[in-house]
Amino acid sequence: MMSRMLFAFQLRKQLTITLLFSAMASLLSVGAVLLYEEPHILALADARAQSPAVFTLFGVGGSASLLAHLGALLHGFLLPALGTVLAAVLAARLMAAQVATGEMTYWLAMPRRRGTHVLTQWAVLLACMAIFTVIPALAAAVAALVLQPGALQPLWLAQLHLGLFLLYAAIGSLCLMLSCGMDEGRRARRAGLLLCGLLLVIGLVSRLREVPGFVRYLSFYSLFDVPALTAGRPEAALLVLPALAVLFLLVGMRWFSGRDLPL
Amino acid sequence: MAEISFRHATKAFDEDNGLFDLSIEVEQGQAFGLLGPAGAGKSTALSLLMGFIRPDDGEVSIRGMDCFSKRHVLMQDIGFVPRDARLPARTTGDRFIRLMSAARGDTYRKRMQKLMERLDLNPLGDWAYMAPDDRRKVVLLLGFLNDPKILLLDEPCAGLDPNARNAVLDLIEEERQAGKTIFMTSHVFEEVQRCCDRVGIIRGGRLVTVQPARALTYTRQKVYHITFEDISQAAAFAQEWETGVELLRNRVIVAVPASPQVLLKTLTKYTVLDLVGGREELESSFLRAFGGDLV
Repeated sequence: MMSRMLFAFQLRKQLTITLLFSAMASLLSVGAVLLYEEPHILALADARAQSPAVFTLFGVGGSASLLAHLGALLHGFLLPALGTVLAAVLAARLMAAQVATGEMTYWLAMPRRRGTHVLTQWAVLLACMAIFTVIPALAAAVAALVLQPGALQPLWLAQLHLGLFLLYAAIGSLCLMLSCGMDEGRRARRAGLLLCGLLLVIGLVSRLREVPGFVRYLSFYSLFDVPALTAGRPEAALLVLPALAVLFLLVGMRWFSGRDLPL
Repeated sequence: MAEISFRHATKAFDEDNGLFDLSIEVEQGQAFGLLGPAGAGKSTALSLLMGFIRPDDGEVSIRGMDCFSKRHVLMQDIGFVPRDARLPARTTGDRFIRLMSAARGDTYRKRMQKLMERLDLNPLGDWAYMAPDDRRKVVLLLGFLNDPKILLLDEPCAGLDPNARNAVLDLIEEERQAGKTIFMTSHVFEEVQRCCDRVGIIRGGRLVTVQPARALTYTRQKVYHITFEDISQAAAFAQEWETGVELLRNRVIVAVPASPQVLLKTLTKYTVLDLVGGREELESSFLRAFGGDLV
């Protein structure tokens, strides 16, 4: 169904930007490991005591362990935010931008369904997000091995990043779905950033105690429960994320298959 | 069953733009040219055939299959040359050609070589830095590469120098001789006249006429160059004749759609020094029909 050659071709084209983002995330990861020193931990604790709402909002919790520390600094906001930007950019490049430039003409001049093309691009997107997940995880693991030997539980780190990848899959699929319905890369990127940005903010806000409990159900970002994952207790609700990813993909395939393309 | 069929196909973008009630049938092995000025709806017709857009009304089919819903089946035997399309950025023409041929399950190496020689193409450069001529040739090569049975060509010679243009027209003629079905659009009369069996003329989204390419040579008017004794006689004649006349000092050029009987009768009142007549150029007859929109 999917063309491996086309998949490889498309993946190669998106590799540079993916590696760039991965490098940024890796720097943040290594930086977070470097901050796992008593003076920094105490400083963080003091700051949290002074502004508990802000720290809760951005998911910056305690540093009881190195994993919890990494989860607090990175996975509560920074990595999901960076992943959102990358997903929106990639999704726009993989669909809408190709319609705008006319490149899509060649893909659709081949004997394959439009839906197959969307599936191929989705696979490329997931591969890029997987790269973006793995590289910073490896960077954190290596940094921890060198600077804090024995402090990191590799299995739980993998679990945390698997959960992060599932979140990226949902984000990427939503952005791709939007991109399937648009004819311009810039508009698709903007739509992805706005919608996912809004969902990210709702997810952040839902952490505050003052906010009613139902708000967390308005955004799938809430399903990525960092404290539970860093404690080694992933919640079943996390599995909703891949289901959402598939749903967005199917909607995107349907949308792209049925609409006029200005080629 | 016609190989390519438009049956009362309409695709309206607004009141004035689009394609309205288009009906054309192209039999297998025929070459059909759709001729019209910019914005007439030629590319829209091709987009409908390629399944990029769906008609608002009517049917567009190839081999009896709907072009939109069965696009993935039809593309096996179709070669498409778009008017404007860009290759992916940071790709060489060579790499992209090999990718597209391999993605169709064959390397088409021999045919690729043959086409590159015919088109005098060196596809090794990065698309972004290729000369416009070479870019166009890459696009053409991609359309002809898999030896398709049906060719859909949108202004195939656009942007080419005269040598390349001739090479492409030769190639299209050869494909026609080989029994391929061809549907091409152009705003250059000579191209469709040379390569097609039938020509449809489209203007404002509506089909004006469809005629055999050869029969078009017989629809021309007769044009006469008349030299009078002096300017005043020429002016008097021009005033008397009124329509289809052009005055150039003591010479008059007049177009007559049918028999010159009335013209000759009128000229007896004047002193005529010279009379030269003949059929107008085919190009001119179409310029007359389309108000100068065609090249």
